[in-house]
Amino acid sequence: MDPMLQAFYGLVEPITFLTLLLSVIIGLIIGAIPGLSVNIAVALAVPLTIFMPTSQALVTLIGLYGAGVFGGSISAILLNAPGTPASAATIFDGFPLANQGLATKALRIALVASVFGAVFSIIVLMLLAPQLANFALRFGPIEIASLLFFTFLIIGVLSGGSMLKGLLSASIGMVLAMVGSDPMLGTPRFTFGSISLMDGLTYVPLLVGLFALAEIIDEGTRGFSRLKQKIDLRREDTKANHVSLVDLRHISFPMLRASSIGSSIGILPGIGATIASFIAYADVKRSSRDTSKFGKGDIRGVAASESANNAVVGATFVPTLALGIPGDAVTAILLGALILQGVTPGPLIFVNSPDIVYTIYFALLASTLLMAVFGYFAVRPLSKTLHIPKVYLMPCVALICVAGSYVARNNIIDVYVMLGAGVLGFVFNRTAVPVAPLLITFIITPPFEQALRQALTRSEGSFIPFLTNPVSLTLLVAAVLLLALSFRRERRERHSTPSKNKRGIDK
Amino acid sequence: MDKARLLGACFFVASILFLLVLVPQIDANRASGVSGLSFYSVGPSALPYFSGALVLLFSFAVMVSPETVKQTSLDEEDSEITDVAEQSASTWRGGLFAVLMFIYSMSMFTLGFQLASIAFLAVVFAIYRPGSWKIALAVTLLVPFSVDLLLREAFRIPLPSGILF
Repeated sequence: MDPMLQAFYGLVEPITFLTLLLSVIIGLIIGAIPGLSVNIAVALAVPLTIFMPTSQALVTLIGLYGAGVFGGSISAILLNAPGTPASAATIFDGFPLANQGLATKALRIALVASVFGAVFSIIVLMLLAPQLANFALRFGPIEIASLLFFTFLIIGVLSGGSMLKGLLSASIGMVLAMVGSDPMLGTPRFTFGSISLMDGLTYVPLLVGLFALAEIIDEGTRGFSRLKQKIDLRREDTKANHVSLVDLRHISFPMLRASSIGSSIGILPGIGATIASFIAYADVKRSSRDTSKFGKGDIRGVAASESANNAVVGATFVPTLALGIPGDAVTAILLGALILQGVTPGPLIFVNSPDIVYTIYFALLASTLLMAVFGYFAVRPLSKTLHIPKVYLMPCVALICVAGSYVARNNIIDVYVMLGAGVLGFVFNRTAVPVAPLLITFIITPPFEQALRQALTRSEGSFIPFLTNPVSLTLLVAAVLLLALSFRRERRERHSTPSKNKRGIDK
Repeated sequence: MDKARLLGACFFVASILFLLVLVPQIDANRASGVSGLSFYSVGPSALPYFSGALVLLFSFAVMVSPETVKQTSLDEEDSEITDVAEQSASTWRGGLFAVLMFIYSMSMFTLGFQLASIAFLAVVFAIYRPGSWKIALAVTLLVPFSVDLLLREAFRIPLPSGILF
């Protein structure tokens, strides 16, 4: 059967479609609750997907991802606290709109923009990924090793506020990936005589700990405090909250610009939706003639932020599918889930498992459509999820973290790995060290080591082929430029901050 | 010393131990295991040395970077306006939760998933004081049972039953 039809039939199977429906609803709810991010939702779902067929596993994770990013805007608009970091820029205009009695309108604008951004990025994915994969099929060990090391640098440099902290996080991810049997000779490394560690640190407990448990411990430090809902949707004027054609025309150009920015950022590994939404917001503000309403309740601000963060979703799959390099933390989790299913992402996926690629396309499209339907009709019920007190929710999520880590291999070691990763993630959050580079590097290190060792074995230990290969040479120049630019930017910021601080104190 | 510099110092020391103590053991294992390769091969300790050196380099940079020095001065300014006692109390609450999680995981094999989970939730609610004790009781009893039922029945994955039962 044609792989496209096979993927379509797989998706419309009642059990798969029901799973997608459920995951979209759960994604919307989890995204809406501040403190429970998309990363947590997807991380907690991975242990369950191990026991599902591939198409069902994919729709679960993709449904949670797409819907969760939009869900974050609900609390951003109604609570002035983003449900997910990606919705932080939505607050600037979303909350002022809600204060003017236009919360439903702001939520609907966010929904329209999210759907636009998501569909835009899926088209980008469909057009770009096969071309990139086709090009990458020509890659040998030298090109693969160079590309993966370039990824290590780019995620380290661009994923956080500080280049050094990002690179430290990525290096720690590389060290953690060293645990287990050496991939070429089978020599045990850092297993301390434990048979359970021969397969390496299992990916599921690591990500559950880094994302979910770290956040729960962080909430624990605040005593699982509760945010009060400030806006009551029942008292709103229905007519004023209607989204008109004039409104849609008003936001169409900002949405297009923001979606292009979101998709471009999504293709680059490690940057993610949060930065995309801030850049898009700044861009739409800069490009508008009338900027007086921005920050006071301008629908263009909401539209730009939401289009950009949802446009990242599909675009992050471009490097994930075509090169096997995760675009952000969530696609790193998805990539790991695919490997657990026995599917190896990378250029060969388009040749060996095209049905999986089509399943991802269809799942992204279907989850966007379902998100549009549920998001439109269920704005009020969704706003009620904000009433759930964290003191009941977070300990239950902690319980699921333990169960989820254990079921991956029925091994208590995995629970301890999850606890260790949780504490590490908490320490990272407290010291502003980004967690995503650690996870992404943890995933790309095994293929990097394999490619590097193959290349060096072939050249008998010489690095000369790396300096004569056009792809690795281009990447080397790009890496040097990237490091130099980041170093310059940080230096400039360092010099400008003391004067800013002084001004702040003088005030 | 501010938090980021302290973290840098910890990883700096850890990476030295990693490079001097743990990585050389790989070659010792290799010597007793695979031998007699007749072709050139990059050893299994090459990447551990490389990654350890990267951690050493970047942790040192984080430890001494001017950015973190600047952070210290900002922290000092902040400390004048924030309640120090409250900050240490909040960190203590997070640490307590992590310890409770560890005890819960350890007790899972003895008590079984359901009983250990009920005990964990009861202790957490006793410490963190929920708004309604009725809801807390319902959550304590229903959530462990539901998670166990879902995994056991829907996914056929048994969680530990406990050696006492």
